[in-house]
Amino acid sequence: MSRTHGQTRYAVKLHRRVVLVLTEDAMLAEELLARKKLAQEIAGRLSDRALLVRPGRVEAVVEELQNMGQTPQVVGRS
Amino acid sequence: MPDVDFTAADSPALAACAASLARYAEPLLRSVAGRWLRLRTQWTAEELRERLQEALANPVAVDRTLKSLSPAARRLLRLMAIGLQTEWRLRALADLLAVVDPGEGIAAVRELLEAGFLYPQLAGRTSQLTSIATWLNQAPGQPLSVVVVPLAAVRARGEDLGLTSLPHDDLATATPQEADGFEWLLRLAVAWQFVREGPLRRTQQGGLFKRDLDRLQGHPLLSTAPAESIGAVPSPEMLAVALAKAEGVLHFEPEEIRAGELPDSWEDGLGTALLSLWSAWTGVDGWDPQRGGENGGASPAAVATLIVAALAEVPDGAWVRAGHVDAWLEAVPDVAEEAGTSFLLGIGHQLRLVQATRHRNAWWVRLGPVGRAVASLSNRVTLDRPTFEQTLLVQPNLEILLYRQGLTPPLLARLTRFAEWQTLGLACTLRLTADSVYRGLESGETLNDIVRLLERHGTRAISETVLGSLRSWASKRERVLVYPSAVLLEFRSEEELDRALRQGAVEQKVSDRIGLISSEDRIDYAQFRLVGTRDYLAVDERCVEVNGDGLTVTVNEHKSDLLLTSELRRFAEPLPATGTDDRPRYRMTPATLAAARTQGWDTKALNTWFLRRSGDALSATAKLLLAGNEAPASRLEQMTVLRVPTAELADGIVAWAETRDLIRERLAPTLMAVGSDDVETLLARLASLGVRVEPG
Repeated sequence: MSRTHGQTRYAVKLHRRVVLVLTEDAMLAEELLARKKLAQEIAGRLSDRALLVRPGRVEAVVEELQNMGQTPQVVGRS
Repeated sequence: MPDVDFTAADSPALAACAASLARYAEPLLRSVAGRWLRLRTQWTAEELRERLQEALANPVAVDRTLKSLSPAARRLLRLMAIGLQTEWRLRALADLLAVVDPGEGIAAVRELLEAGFLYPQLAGRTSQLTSIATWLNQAPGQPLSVVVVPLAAVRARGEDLGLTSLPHDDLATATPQEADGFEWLLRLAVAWQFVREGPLRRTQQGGLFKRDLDRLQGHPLLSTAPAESIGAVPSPEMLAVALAKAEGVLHFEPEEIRAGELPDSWEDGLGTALLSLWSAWTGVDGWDPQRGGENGGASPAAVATLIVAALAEVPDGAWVRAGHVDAWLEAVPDVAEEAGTSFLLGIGHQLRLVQATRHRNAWWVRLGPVGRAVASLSNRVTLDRPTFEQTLLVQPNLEILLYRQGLTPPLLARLTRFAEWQTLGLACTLRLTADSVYRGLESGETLNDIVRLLERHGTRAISETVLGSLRSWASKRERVLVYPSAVLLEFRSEEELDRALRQGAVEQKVSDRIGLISSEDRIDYAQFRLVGTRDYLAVDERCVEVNGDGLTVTVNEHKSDLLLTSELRRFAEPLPATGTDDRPRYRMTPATLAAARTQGWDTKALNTWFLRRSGDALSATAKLLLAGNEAPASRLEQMTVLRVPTAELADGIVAWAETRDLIRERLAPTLMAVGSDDVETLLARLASLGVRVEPG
């Protein structure tokens, strides 16, 4: 953390255009990861309820979530 | 979307004219431009094109050049404006000219092309166009289309069409029947929902796959006759798809038809929506009011345009017998016997262009307000709005009963987004389902929006059962959030992230050190110092280095991304931080590489990964650990090594025929391996040369 003109500035690394899935709870994230077709689109798990999706695979993920009977909210779709 | 504003400076038709002009060879360009501009010899072809394009949108230039045309050419322009269509098939123009310029063929089309009021549709053509006559000569072999300069069409509005008058009568006691105009808006909405459920697949010829065609033709709403029908509309499902295409409600892609957007024109009320539909109708290709989807015969767009133009010549309020319109159309080549009646009592009535009445066992028609607006080239028509808003009833079983008397196009569009159409009639029904509400929410509606709309237009309050279902479906949507393009900020510590969260600099905590901001423009850069940036749609950065042991991987945190850690953990294990620096390190071990292999990470996959992430191939050590067991078996042998003082001497021993076969392998420039059975022979032959060998 650094200070400029008395203001605190956080040293951060910026990750742009990340495809992310956030679930209501950890159990739901486990459920999603147990789905083979969905798991292969997941590149990693940032926390117990945050899943990182492979770049460019958002449509496939939304489609598979809907096939699972989920109703995912796509936030900020352009 | 139909191009209904012919006066717009940014009309797509003007862009189409410009695209054609770009393919004109210079002599043809100069010839056309000469009709509009006083040419200067120093103007380049590019300058000429620019000046001509400006003139095409300039009312003064258009009016001046219009005067140089023959009356027949100006009549044709006016008819094109009545058709509210900027792109026309040559066949349709020939049909129009058969009435307004009989016996002259397509002379007026040629005149308009040569004068720069029409432009050939040259999409897909790569060669330059050298003459209009050459292009027109292709007409017998292929369907040709032209684009009209929109401003010219609309400014020819004063031209007398010289049409033969239709017989008419006042029919003082007639009761006009006028459709509400919603039938085809509703069908477009149903078509949109239908295709949104599953795209229609197209064959290579552009038709539909049989299964999808059967699905469409068997659709319970699209394939049935309209509720207010006074005349037949054949294959209504095909017309719905064709109109939906023209309105942009459906997108025709090479392999399938997908749902587009509901038309913006619906937001401006019924009059605007109907004018847009009229334009869509004259742009429909491959549907006929009598034969449905079959092609051939006179152009339906031309026939409809002529009918509207002819009815507009009749005094206000007077009625025309539909049969007389059929007779009047006989001048059009190949026109079907009852083409006029079919259009007027079918789609013409449903689009609210005409009012109809029964008199002496015959149908009589006259233009309604929409038809008159079309004929007068006004792109605006005001229709009475419903006097009441409460026009629907939401029943506890989640069915919505909708009375069309209070319907408006904006209400229709909103309902279409979150409720499924079940029946169409004077009273329509829709159903709220988990899926329909979910889709509505995904299209931008909120739960509050939906409830407010249903309450505002409902005749009764919404029951608690319905409200409960809506809330439950909406909350289910909150269970999984998908961010297609999130912005994440990675902090140095959890404490810093928590502090930033409290200050509102970050919207949501994603993990112990990562926070989320919904869009990049919400980042307050004054609060952050960027120590690295990664764009996940850009090419991967080289962000790891492999140490000298070939097994330890050091991460460059400034360049790494969030995917890297999970990728690394698939074949390496993290190492504890060392005192030298705090850069993360991972090590590949036999165990981690064996685990990676079971998950499909073979030498090829790892090699690709290392080339992508480090710029170098997988190290030999890692290959040994990963796939050493796949190499052919090695052999442990005992052999005698002969060390000679110079490489030159070794060269001689390897080359001399007497000793060559006794050397098993040259190990180094001065080292040679000798089989134990050959040692004595080799020593003897070297001794014969005087070469001394001492025991080691």
